[in-house]
Amino acid sequence: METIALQVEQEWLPEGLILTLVGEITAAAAGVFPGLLDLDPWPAAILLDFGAVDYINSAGIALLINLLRQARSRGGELRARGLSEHYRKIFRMVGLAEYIEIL
Amino acid sequence: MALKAALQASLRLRGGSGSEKVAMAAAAAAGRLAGLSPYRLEDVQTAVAEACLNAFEHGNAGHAGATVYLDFIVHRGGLKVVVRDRGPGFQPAVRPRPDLRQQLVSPLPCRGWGWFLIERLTDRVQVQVGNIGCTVVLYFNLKKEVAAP
Repeated sequence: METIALQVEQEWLPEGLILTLVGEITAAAAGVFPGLLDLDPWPAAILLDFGAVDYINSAGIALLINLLRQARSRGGELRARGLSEHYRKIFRMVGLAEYIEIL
Repeated sequence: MALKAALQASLRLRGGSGSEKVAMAAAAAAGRLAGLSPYRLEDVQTAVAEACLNAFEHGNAGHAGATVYLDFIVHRGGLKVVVRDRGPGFQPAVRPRPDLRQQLVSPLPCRGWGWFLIERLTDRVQVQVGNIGCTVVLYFNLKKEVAAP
């Protein structure tokens, strides 16, 4: 079965970068994330907009942890907006909410 | 809707990762018949999806053509979902628990979150290992229904 690819729109602002995620965050999105991990310069803050994401699975959570790991090692912050109540709960369960400010 | 007897539906998934969305749709329908709240249905869908992904990856060694079998049993107490594959199975008790704090400072891949979510989103989960494969049974109880926090 075909999986829906993730599309990422980048908007650079003086205060940081907005990444608008569209689609599904699963193993199929793995090809998108290496490009994000190599951002140069690394922004002081990245706002992840999940408003157009309707499915995140455990492989997608692993990709987000990788991005968070990279942000922390580069001295940046991650924020999230547009998460559904269900995925807010998942973020709390996994512990991501301790490291990512959820707006 | 008061159930007089249990209702059961079965599903066979082939095609590997991505086809778990068919199981999610079926799980949502079964959960609605069981009387679970919309809030709880999302837990059901995520847990069932992760059980399927586990079966695709570990149970069938990533063979997209291998089959995963699901049974949805709607009963008075809620919903039971049985996920079967042909793999060797695993022992949940000896599976290392993922630790986000550790994963954030480790160069190793961030793994283990699927089973973690299954355990937390179900009321009970059982793993049965036999000579023809592995069976994971997920339970979602009506009595545990709570409002969204």
